[in-house]
Amino acid sequence: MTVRHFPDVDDQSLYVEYCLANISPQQRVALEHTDIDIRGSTCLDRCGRCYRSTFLVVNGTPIDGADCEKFINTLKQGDPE
Amino acid sequence: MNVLFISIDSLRWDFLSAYRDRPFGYDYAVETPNLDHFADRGTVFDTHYAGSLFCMPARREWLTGTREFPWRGWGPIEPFDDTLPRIARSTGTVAGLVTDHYHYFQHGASGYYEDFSGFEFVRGHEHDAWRTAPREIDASFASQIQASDPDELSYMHRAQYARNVANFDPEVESDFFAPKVFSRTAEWIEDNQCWDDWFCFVDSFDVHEPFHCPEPYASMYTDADPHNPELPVWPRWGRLDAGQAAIDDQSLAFVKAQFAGKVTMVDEWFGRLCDRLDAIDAWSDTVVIVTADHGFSLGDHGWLGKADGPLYDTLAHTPLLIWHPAYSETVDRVDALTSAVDLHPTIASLLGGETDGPHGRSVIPLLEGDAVSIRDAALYGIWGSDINVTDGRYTYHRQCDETRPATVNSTYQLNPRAVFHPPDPPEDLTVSKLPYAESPVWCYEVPSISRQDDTMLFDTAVDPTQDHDVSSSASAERRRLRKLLASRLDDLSVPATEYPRINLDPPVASD
Repeated sequence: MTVRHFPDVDDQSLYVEYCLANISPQQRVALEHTDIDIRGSTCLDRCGRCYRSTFLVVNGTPIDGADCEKFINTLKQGDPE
Repeated sequence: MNVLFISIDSLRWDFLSAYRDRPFGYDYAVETPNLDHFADRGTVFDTHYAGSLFCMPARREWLTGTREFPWRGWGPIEPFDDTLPRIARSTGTVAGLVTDHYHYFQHGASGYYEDFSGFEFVRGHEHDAWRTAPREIDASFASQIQASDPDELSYMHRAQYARNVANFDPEVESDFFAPKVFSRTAEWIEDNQCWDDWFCFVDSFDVHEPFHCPEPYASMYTDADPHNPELPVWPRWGRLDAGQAAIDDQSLAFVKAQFAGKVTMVDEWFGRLCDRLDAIDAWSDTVVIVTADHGFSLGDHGWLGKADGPLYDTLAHTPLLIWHPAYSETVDRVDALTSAVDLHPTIASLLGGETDGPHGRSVIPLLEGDAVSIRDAALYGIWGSDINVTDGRYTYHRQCDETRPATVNSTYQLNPRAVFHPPDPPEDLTVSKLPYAESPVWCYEVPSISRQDDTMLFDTAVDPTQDHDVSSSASAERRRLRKLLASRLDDLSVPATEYPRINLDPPVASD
C-alpha cells in the first residue's frame, strides 16, 4: 500500500492516528475496518487543528480539510491507490 | 490545624528515593534531596493510586471526594459538590490556592478556584492563553517544542508557550514556573500567619511538559546541548516507534534527562518552601500533604505521554507523603492501599469539617494506628474507557467494548472529549439521577475507546514494571479481581451501562 497522492507522507507503510473527539462514528468505522495500522486516541494534543476540521495524522504528518476527506473516502472504497 | 496540600503534576512515584533508588527505565538516580528529607520526616504511603485520570478529574477527586470516572469525564465542579475550600470557609479557615495550572481557567473546567478565599495564578505554562506577542518566535526553540506554525491562532497551539516564555532567561531559574509557584506559596503562608487556621492548596503544573528547564537542571542529566533545535523538550504523545511520537534513542534520552531535570528543579524549590516553614516554626501546627495527579510514560511499554496505552503503574501509582505533627514521628510508612479520592475526607477532617465525602475514606486512622486498612480495593480509570482495579498487589485492567457507548452524567452539557473547545451541545439528552446527589443530571451517550488490546492482570509484587500479563496463568487471582471489580462498582451504584461496556456481569444480590 502506498500513499503517493499525499506528498507529505513518504513512508511505504501506513500508520494512521485519529482523535476520537474529531471524527464521526462513520469515519471511525471506515478507519477501523481497514488493514492498515490505526491508533485511536482520546487526544493527539492538536486541539487547534481538531477544532477547525476533521484531521488525521498519517505516518506522523497531520492532514486535514480536503486531503483528509479524500484519504478517508479512499479507505472507504478499499483502494488506497 | 493548618493544612498545606501540594500537588506536583505528573511526578512519578518511582522518581523519589522514598520509593526506589532510581526510576524505572533510567540507569541513573534523579536527585530529590528535599523530597527525600520530607519523606524521612513524614509518613510515606507505599500503595497510593490515582482514581479518575487525568488532570481535572484528579482535582475533582481531591477537592470533592467524588470518584468521577464512572459517570463523566473532564468537566466543571458540579452544583452539588462540596469542595474543600467551601468546607474550610465553613469552619473559619482561610483557604488559598497557588497555582500555574491554567486548565482551571479554560473551557471545560469551572468552579475549581472560585470557592477559595483567594488565589494566585502564575501565568504562562504550556498552552495558557497569555502572551500574544512577539509574533515572531525563536526558530530554534520552536523546533524544540515542535511548534510547526508560529502564526497559528486556534485553540491550544504550541507557539503560545514560546511567546509566554519569550522573556525568560534560561540562566535564571526564578523566571520559571515551579520557582514562582513555590516562592509565592512561601509568601502566602507568611502573609497568612495572621489567621488562626489556614488551608493552602499548591497546584504546581511542573513537572508537566514542556520539559523546558533552566540551568543547572537542563544540563544536569545530559551531556547534550540543551538548546540543540534537533532535541525536543515537548514530545508528542503516542507510540515510540511510529506516528507523531516516533523518536530516536538520542532524543528520547534527552527528553528523559529534561524530565529528570525538572523533577530536581521542583525538588529544589519545594526545599526552599520547607526552609521557610522552618523559619516560621510551622511544622508543629501544620499538616503537609504531597502527592501527584498521575505519572507520565517516558518510553515505558513503548509509549510517550499519558493519552495512550493501558493505565500501568507509571501512570496510575502515585506518590503520597504526609507530615502530621501528631503522628509522623512514630509512623514512618503505611503500606495500606489508599486512593486519590481519600484525600478529600482526610483534609476535610483536618479542617474540622465533615469526613464522609461521597466516595473517599480518610487516611487519618492509618496514621493514628486505629486501622491497618481503609479499603480492600481501589478503582481507577478514564471516563469512557477501560476500568481498572487494584488490591494493592495485583492490578486488573478490564478492557472496554468499543461497540458499547459510555454515558455522560452531568448538570452541564460538557464536551466530553474535546474539552478545551467551546461547548458543543449534544442533541439526544435524557435526564438521570446520580446515586450520590439529589440533583438530576443530563445523560447522553458517547462512544467508548479502549487503551489496551485485551484484559490484563499483573502481580506488582514480583513484576513491578508490569511486563508479564498473568491473566492466563493466575486464573484464581483473575477471577478474584474480576469479582472485586464488580463488587466495588456495585458499591458505587455506577450506571447500569458500565457493566456491559466492560463485558462484566453485575454482582447478584445474595438474598
